[in-house]
Amino acid sequence: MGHVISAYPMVGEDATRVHLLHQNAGLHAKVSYLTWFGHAVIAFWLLLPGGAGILHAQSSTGAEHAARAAQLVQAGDLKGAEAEMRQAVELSPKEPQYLARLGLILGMQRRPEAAAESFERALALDPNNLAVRRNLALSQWQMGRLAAARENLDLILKAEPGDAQALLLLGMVLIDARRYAAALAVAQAAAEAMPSSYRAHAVKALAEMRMQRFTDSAKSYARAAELNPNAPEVSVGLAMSLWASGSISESFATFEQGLKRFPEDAYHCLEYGRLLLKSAKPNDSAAEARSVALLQSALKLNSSLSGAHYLLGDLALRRGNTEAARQHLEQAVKLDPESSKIHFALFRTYRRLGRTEDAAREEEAFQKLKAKEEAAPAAPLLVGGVD
Amino acid sequence: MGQRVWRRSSVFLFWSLTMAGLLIAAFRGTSGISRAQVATSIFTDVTESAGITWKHFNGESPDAHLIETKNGGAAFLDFDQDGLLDIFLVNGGETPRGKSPAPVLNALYRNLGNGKFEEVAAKAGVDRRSSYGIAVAVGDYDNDGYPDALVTGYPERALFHNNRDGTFSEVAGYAGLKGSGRWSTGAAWFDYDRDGLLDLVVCHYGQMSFESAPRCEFRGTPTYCIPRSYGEGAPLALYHNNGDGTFADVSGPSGVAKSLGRGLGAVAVDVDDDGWIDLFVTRDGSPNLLLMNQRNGTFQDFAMDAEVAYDPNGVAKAGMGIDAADVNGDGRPDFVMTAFNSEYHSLFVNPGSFPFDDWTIPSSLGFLTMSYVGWGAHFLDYDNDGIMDLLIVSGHVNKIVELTRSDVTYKELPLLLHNDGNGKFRNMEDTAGPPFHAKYDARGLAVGDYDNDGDVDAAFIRLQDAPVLLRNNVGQDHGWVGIQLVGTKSNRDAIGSKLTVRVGDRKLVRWITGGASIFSSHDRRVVFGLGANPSPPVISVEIQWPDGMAQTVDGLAPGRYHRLVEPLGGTQ
Repeated sequence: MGHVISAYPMVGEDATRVHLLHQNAGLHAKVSYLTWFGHAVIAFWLLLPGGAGILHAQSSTGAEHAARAAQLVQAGDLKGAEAEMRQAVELSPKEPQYLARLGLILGMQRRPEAAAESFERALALDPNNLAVRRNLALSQWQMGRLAAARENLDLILKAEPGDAQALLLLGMVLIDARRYAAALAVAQAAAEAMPSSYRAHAVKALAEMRMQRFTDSAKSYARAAELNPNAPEVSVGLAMSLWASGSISESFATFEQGLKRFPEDAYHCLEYGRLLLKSAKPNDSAAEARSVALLQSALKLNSSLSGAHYLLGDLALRRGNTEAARQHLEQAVKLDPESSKIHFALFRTYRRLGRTEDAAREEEAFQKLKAKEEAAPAAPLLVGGVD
Repeated sequence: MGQRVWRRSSVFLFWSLTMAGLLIAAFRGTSGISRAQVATSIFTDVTESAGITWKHFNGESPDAHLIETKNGGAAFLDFDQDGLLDIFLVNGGETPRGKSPAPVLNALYRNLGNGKFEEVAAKAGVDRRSSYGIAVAVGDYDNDGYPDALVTGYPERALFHNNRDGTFSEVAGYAGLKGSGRWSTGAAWFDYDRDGLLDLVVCHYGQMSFESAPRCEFRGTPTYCIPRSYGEGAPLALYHNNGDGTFADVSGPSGVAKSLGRGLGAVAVDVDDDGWIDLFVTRDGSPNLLLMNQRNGTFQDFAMDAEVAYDPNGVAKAGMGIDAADVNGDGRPDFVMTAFNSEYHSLFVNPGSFPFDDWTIPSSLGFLTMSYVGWGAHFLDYDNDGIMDLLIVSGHVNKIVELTRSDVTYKELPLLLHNDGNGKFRNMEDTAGPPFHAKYDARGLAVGDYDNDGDVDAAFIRLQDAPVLLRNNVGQDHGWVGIQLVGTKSNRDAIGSKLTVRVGDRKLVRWITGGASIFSSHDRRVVFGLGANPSPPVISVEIQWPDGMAQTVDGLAPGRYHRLVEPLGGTQ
């Protein structure tokens, strides 16, 4: 039982969504990993030895609670599954597998902190379980505890230097840590170890994007898209990297195809709207109207996209529609309080509304975030305004 | 403001450059390119025919020191006061692994008046210096009628005092302007306290060391690092002119040193029309500064209020070149700032209050400059239609950029942008001439009418190459009048003056600015384009002198330069 979780979920590519986007890439990627996390756990429970057979036993052993937890996971009742799994852990506190499963259920509920605690307890009992350590690293990455995640991934790779999944996760950790060159090296190794993994090529593409190797990035995304044409995040990444590399018409064609293929994907709408606005000639009212429509569609599909609120707010501010700007920007800042540009736009909006105290508060928040940005590491000077 | 209004019904104290017409005739006859040949070209590259052969050297090396990319100053100045603009060119320097086979020398090209120039830097004593050179700021700091020149760089600056005999003496140490150990970049002369003496502001980039510079690479090739890699920057320096050839460092008490940043360019102009000259300072990835003169020897930064510190996304652009002029005909100085590719160069329109209006997008400047890394930029009315157009020179810093994107090149086209009168710009690439179809790695840009024909010419530096001298072929198609102001109570260069000419129902306002563009100095004379209509027989100009006095001079004949001297004794 101890190593059942060794089926590290990242191999379940069909269930994985990794949004490898230029902007907010870390956030999108983490959300996607959480989605994958859920699918992986369901798959895991279904694979439990004798799992379904004991679901109806109704006894009070740890194994029976665990089996009921599996059933509840399948039914989508994560709270119930958590309660059952906690019972199992209470009855069998020395069983690392139960702690690991509890961690997975907590991860599915987007509670990476609690999940990490369970994984850590499991590892205390079974320190050589690399699968649990991977999941702990994943939770730590989700929490932004990049150093800890990296430490665990390094331990895995020391034991299993060819662990491609750990390499891939390490690539994402390094991207978030802004160690792009190291991330690229790791992603390259992962892509070589898993040449048919679209995700490996996508992580490589993201690292290349961050290193401003835009043409390389477009090639890697194109390869990822060949391997998995059904991944909307890859389609968006490809369109964005084409735009960054100067292939504007190809980029927009890719977006148009993506809109048709993935009509429910908010990121296609958001990023296409953003880049259309950025590329539009002055007074190109058609482009602007299309951008606005795309951004509004993005919000209909996913109202938590701070970027869409920001862009609509910024546009309203430019047009002198200060009240509309305020509404969008206040929404945006709630969704993404760490974005300096949103605070800056709100500062400008409040000033125009005569709300001097609010403006001062936003200016202070903006300045604090800008000071953090100044601490970024050295990078090649290729593109302006790169953080 | 208690300004004295001084008016005179007839021309007063003007000295027409009557030789100008003769010079023009002579020039056209000997330049080797007939007017018919260049009929469709606004500008012609006359570098070779002018005899300009000097080449720039920047010490490019595998170490990729950022200073290698941020240098190259040019100046138009009449150093010998013969009525012809000469050209001074600042060389870069060597780096530990970027050595030159020949000494790295500055150039001073004396204008011979026949379209030819003679290199006289060694004779004039301005060719050699021990520092890595970056920029030149020309100003007559001792009011003796002969222009002096500050050369910035690392690790020291040089102040070349004009000896009035065709030679200069280097006096930075005596003057207190050496700035040892500092990486000084753009500089501007201006009289911030209106005492009639030019003071000096100097930008600094950051900490500099050839031994411990940051390292970056792209696919294993060394490349230049982002500005942040050089730390958070350094403060500005402001030097008050003591009037005895020395300067006092007033950076602290004046308030200009409050903010650290990677300063590159500065333009001095009266932003709020209060008669006191202000400063716009561009900084590289640091917020720009708009230092408003508090009329008591101090400055306060209003860049956040004016919304010029950052772009609308809160990004501190790679602010480089800067210039001020009225682009929309409302009589207020507006600002252009060059920046990096993908950032767009900025156009800030001054509505007479804060915040300024960001016209980057509606002016088309954003769209036109998206792929460019802009350096020198200067407003000029190239066609003398009375509206200020824009000349920008560009060049990327990293040669490997072409490996990563298809829309940005290392060498880039210069841009001549025509203003429709309402602040909307159009690229004149089809008619601007062959130099605008050639790509350069350009840096400093200076403007000036070197052939005294009433249209503004230009010169710019190319890294590791010969500079380019552009002759304007079309300005004379429209009427014009040129003004040279000579301060008496005000600083002799009249930096800080505001000039207004009325043509029909149009009011043309110009300023004599300090600094402007990047690393460069310009013709201090002002040319007013009078447009396509028949020029009025006489022109009036209203002058607001830097010391606050207002004056109107009537009866100026178009088609020539007029030298107007500030009256000494109040109302006449």
